[in-house]
Amino acid sequence: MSVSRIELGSPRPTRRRRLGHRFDVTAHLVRTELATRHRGSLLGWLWALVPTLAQLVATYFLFTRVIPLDVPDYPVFLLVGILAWQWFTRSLGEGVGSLEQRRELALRPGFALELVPATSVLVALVDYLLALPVLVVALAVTNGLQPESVLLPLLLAIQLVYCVGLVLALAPLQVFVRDVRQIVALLVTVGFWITPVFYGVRQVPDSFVWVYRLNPMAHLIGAQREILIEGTWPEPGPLLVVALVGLAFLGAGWLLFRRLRDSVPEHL
Amino acid sequence: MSREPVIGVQGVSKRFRRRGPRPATLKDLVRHPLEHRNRDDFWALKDVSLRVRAGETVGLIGANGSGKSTLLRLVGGLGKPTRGRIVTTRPVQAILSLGDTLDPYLTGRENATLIGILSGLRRREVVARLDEIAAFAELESFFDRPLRTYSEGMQLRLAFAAATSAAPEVLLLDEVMSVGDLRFQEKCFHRLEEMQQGGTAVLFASHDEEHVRRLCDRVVWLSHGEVAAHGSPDDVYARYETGMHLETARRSESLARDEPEHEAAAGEERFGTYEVEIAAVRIEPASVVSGRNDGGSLRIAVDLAPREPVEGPILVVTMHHADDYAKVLEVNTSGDGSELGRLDTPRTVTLDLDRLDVQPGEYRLSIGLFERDWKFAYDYHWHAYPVHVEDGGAGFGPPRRWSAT
Repeated sequence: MSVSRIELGSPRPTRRRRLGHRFDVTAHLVRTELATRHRGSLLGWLWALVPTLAQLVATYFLFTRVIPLDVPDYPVFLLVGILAWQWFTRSLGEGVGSLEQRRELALRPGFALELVPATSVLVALVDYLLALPVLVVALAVTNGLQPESVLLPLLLAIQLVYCVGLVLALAPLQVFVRDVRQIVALLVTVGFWITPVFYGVRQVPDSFVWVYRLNPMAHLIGAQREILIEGTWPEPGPLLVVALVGLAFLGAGWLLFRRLRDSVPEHL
Repeated sequence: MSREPVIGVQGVSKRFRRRGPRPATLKDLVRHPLEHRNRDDFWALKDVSLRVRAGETVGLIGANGSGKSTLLRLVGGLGKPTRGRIVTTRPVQAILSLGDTLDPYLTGRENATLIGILSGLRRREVVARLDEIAAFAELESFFDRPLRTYSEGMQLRLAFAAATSAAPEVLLLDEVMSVGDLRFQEKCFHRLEEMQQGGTAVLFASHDEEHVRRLCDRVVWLSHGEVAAHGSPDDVYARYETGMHLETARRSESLARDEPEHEAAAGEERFGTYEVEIAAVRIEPASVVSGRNDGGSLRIAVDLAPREPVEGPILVVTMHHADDYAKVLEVNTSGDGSELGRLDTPRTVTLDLDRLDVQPGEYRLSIGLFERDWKFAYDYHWHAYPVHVEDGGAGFGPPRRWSAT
């Protein structure tokens, strides 16, 4: 027998190597997802942007010409809301069905299954980041870039925590009860109207404001508008609570995922 | 090479809940709330135990639905056993199906990278092996074309090359050796054999007897989720073929009954078609003393009782260590040129072993009567008759002669 060209065993899976490997898997899944989605289309990755801009134009027309809302800096106000909300809805929309979609990964021994729903959130985040230059230019030409904008990564991180927590819980549930996707789609549709995406909490009558205080996305979008458009620091108290609740979501999502993970393969 | 056990399966049972078309919707739950309690349980595995050591290959055989794939999945960590325990002491890689992970819109290179990363390599390690993967799969000129332009054989070659580019320490293989043409299959075998020599432990499920005999040191036959036989490929296939023959015969009703008339020895495992029965076995002496001048002789007399006439059966006597099943002796009438001819009346066949010359210890004899072409067993008493070899004080007693000049 000739001397083997293959060496036995990849290096011992130290903790560091495992983390690095997970990073590679995630990066590769995100990359191939992005690569296959737009390959062969004329506009390519611009398709991540076009629906956002179309929605922006239509909504802008509706709430300035048809039902004027009288919000200052409405184009950027609207863009901030739509971008954040779209990241949220795309994360859920793709993430909930992701385990069914990537069945072959769920049936691979030793695969870190949680990376599949997490990938959906990250792909939606890349869409968000691709649209970010448009927002930056829009902010620059309207009322200038505010120094408070440096807080944006923190707000995005909090939203990431919420998205990942939710899809970790919902993706395995969807495998067991196939109604979850429809229920989520319904809640997201309703959520669009009861979250200040195209309007602000200031437009809401006082007696209903408490509803908005319970909505983390309302806090996050509001805070984004404060730092990006108004140039004011958001109140740290509520934001801290939102962040802590987000971590609780993530923890609960992770626990539920771990509980259900072992039964996922036999239900696919 | 370390021979430590790397896969341990201990008394594993797996229950699946068979309840209509599986994915429940809320509507189902509301409309049939009771079905939850009345469900029909299905045991895919029942009390299965096995162990695979480093460098060892164990084959899983059995009909479709006998639990081979379920066992592989559980060992791979997909799902938990309902009862029992599975221990793997090394990272497990599996090729349970080729081609599933491939994406038709990615190029061969991108697909190979994806599979390599999913097989546990860091990205840079995969990239360093890409040329080798392309060369092994013989796809160099196609490597940067999208996978949808590949033939099925090319896709399988790519998948196998990428999945095995990092030789794993524990490999689960499910019926994937029928990759591509015969020449490429040979290449795959060669790679697997390299891994075996490097110490990879392999659990290999297959329907192909030739593949199993070639790769496996031991074979486990699963039947309806239970271990029907466990041992060397020869042993297990003998019993497997008999079982198959019996099933065929039962179906065609050519055998009126297949229960033996003669009582079996205590504690033995017995199988066969019972067209001829091994009615009694006498072993003399009960206890052999090794190290004696005669080496310890043994006489085995086997009473054969034909239920119907058979032509040219073969009597086999095998001796194993009682504890680890290691074979020390296997002889048969056909191999020794003692044809039994036509068997239509009861006969006694006697085997005289003049010199046993084995180490002191506990042994078991398996005695079987096989069809003339070894297709199946008429009656096989497996691991049934104990032989005790006493220590005569001199260790072995080889044939010897003293002389002085």
